[in-house]
Amino acid sequence: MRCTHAEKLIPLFAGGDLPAREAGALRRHLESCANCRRLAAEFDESRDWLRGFAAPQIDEAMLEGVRDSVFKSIGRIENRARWLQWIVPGLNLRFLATMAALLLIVFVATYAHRDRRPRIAPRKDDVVKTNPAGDQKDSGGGAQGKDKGFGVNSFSVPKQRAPRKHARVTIENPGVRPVRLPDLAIATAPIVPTATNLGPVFELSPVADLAMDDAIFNRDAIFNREMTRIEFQTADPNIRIIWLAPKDSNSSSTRPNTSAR
Amino acid sequence: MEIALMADKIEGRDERRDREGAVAATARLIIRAKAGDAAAFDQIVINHQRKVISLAWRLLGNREDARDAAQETFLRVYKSFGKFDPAQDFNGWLYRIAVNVCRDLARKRRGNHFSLEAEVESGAIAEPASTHNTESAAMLAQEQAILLRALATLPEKERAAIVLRDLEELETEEVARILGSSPTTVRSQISAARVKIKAFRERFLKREKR
Repeated sequence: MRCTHAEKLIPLFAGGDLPAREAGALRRHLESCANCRRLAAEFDESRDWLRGFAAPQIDEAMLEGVRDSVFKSIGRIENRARWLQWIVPGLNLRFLATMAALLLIVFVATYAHRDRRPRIAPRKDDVVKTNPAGDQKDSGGGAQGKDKGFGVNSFSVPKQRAPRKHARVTIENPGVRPVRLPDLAIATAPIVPTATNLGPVFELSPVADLAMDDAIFNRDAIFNREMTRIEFQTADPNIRIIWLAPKDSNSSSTRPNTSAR
Repeated sequence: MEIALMADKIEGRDERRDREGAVAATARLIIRAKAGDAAAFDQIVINHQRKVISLAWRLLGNREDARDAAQETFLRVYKSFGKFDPAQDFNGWLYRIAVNVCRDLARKRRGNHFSLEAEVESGAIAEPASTHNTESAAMLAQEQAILLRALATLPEKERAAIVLRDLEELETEEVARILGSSPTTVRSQISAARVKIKAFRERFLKREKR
C-alpha cells in the first residue's frame, strides 16, 4: 500500500469504519511507515478530543419546559381536531383531500363541456341584413320549407355563442365592407352541418364585396335570374364562402358537384 | 481465568437481556401511545428527551434552538405515530425525525450565527459544578465551546454524520439509515469531517502555544 492511499484511509481507520480487509492492509502498512503511523496517532487524538465533548448539561427545568410545551401543543391540536369533528363528523385529511379532488373533477368536467360548444357563428348583431322582410320571415324558424332546391330538412337553428373577438374583427376589419345588394329574390337555406365542426352561417347575409362578386360571377346573368345566395362562415372571420345558385330547382347548378374528377 | 471469562459472558448476556427488555418496554409504550394513552406518550418523552435535546444541541450549537428542536421533534412523533410500525427501531426513527427537525430549524435560522461568547456567558455549555472547582469548570466550558465551534465549521451533512457516528456512537449503517444516504456516502462524510476537525484542533493548539 502506498502512503497516498493510506492517508485517505486513516481518517476512517481511526474510527473503525474500514472494512476488515482494508483495515488489515493499512495496519500492515502502518507497521512499516512511521509517517503514516504518526498521522494515524494524530487522528486518534483528534477523535478522542471530539469525544470529550460531553453531553451538554441539561437541567430539570429545561426538561420540564420541553414536556410542558409538547403537551400544550398536543392539546391545541386535539382541541382543533375536536372542533372540526363537531362541524363535520368524520372529518380528516383524507376526507378533505377526497372532497378537493371531487370538486376539481367537477370543475374540469364543466369547463371541458363548455369548450365543446361550437363557437364559430357570429353574433346576431354582427350580421348585416339586406332584406328586412325576409328577416322577419326568417326570424325564429329560419326559412322553413323555402329552399326546395336543396331539399334540406329545415328546423330552427339553435342560437350559438360566437367568439366575441372574432365577431369584432369581422365588423371592424376595413377590408370587409357591408354592401347592400340589389333586390334579389333571396331565400335562406337552413343547412345543418353534418360531419364538420365548422357550422355554416344560417342567416342570409349579403355582406360581401361587390368587386369580389364581379370578379367571380357574371352579374348580369345573376341579376336576371332568381338566385339563392348561400354563405358559409369559415373559422377565419375574414373568410366567408359565398355561393350564388339559380333558384330553379331543376337546374343542376343548384346542387354542388361532389363527383370526383 | 475461566471464572473471569464466565463472568464476562454472564455480564454480556445480562446486558443483552436488559437491552431487549428496554426495547420490548418501548414497544409496549408505543402501542399504548398509538391507542391514545397520554401517560404512555409522556413516558416516551421522559425516556428520550435527554437524548433528543443533547443531539439537537450538538447539531445546532445552542440551548434555545435545541429546546425548540426537541419540542418540535416530539410533536412530529405524536403526529406521525399512526405511520410508525412498532416492529421498527424506535430510536432510529426518533433520531431521523430529530435530525430533520434540526435541519429545518438551521435553515430557518441561517444567518443567526452561532455566538460562542453568548453561550459561554449564559453558562449553557457547561455550568460550574461547585465553587471549589470553578477553575476546572471554566476550563471545561472553554473546551466545550471550542468543540462546539469545531462542529459549527462543518457543513450540515458532515456535522450530522460525525455527531451521530462519533458522539452518539451509532453504527455507520444506522447513521446512513437516519440520514437517508448510503453507508459509502456516510463514510466519506465522516472521513471529511474528521480531517476538518483535526485541522481545526491543530490550528487551535498552535494559537494556544503562541
